Amino acid sequence: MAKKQVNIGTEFAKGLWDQNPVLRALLGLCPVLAVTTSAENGLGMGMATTFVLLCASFIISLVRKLIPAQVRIASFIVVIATFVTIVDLGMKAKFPALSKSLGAFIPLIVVNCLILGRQEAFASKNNPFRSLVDGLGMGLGFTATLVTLGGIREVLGNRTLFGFQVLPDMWEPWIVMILPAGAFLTLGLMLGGVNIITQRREQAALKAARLSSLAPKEA
Amino acid sequence: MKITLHMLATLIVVGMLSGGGLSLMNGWADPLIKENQRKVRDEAIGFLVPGGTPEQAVDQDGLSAWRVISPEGDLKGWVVRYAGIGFQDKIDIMIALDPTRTEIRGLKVLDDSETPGLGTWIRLFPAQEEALLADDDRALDAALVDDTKNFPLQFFGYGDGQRLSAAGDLVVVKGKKRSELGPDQVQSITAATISSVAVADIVNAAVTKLSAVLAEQGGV
Repeated sequence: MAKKQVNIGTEFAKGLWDQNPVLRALLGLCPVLAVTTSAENGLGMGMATTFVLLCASFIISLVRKLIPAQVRIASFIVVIATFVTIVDLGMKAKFPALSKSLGAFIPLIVVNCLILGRQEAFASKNNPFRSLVDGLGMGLGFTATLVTLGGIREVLGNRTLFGFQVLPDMWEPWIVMILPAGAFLTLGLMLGGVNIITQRREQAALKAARLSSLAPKEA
Repeated sequence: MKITLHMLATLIVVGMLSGGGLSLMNGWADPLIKENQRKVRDEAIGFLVPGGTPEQAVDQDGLSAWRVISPEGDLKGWVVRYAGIGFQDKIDIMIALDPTRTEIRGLKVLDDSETPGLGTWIRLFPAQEEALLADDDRALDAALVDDTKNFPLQFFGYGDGQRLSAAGDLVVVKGKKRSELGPDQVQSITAATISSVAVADIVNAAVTKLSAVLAEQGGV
């Protein structure tokens, strides 16, 4: 039986909400918590991860039928590590300040389970186009979450957003928001918020399904 | 046997393509990275001892030092670069010294991973750096936060004009105002004593090591 193909729009959108790598799958939490002291850092890390995800997904889906199953993980890691090193060198050459503030977390994208997870679960089983769409959706979902988390922490902990002051001087910065504890608190509240929204959507869908089953059927 | 050869061939090809790609990328990025590092270093030297030309005098065992020469050919001062362990990771520092190497004239943190909002007060923040660069005392007054958070300004003689000693004997003192301290005492940052002590230790180690190296070279 032929495998049912999911609509390409759904494939893209799933990474933004339903299968958001951070808020739903809790993947790659180490850089998520560590680098999101500002929205700019979150954007930089998100874009670097998206680039690696897109390039690795494309290459791996292109050569998926040539790689023996026994060495697939080793091959995936070499491909991912290559693109991570390219990003690391490119950032050091063109964006040295951002590279300095992200520190060791750029090379550590190699071991981000989001990247390897998408290669194993999706790119190694789908064509290059669908893999690119999946990578783009997941990457944007990851980036949006990091920017939101970094933005909240930066505004409350430093009065600024992307370096511009958004809260008045009378606001005493909450230093805890920039410290590791602030990352855990903010992420916990975001996860709680997402769970509430998801539950409400599921309950609404269930209610709508019940109502439609109770409605009188036309003859 | 066939599958073994297939596996080997796959890994060799993947490894070769990866190596080739990285070699190309490194060839493009390496000169730019070195240029960025040189720019950061030159800007820091120009900030600490403005209006001179640096001449490297020492580069050994992690210690770098430059003599800064004025356009007239006089020695304007020294800049020393040294790194040591801070609260979380390495702190990389540049220190400016007077021509006789007895007083500290300035300090700039080039790299650190100290705790945001606490240990990061070892750095000058942009408004302070701009005011120092423009030699504008009013702007510097406006850029002050509170006495315990103006840690790096002590190395510029800010406030009472007292220059810190470059004899390698700096100690960190808690709970006193800058005006109550001597030239061998540095006021600690509130809630970041480890970072404050780390900076003082790096400065002490740098000036002591510089003196030893220069003495070895012939007592410059």
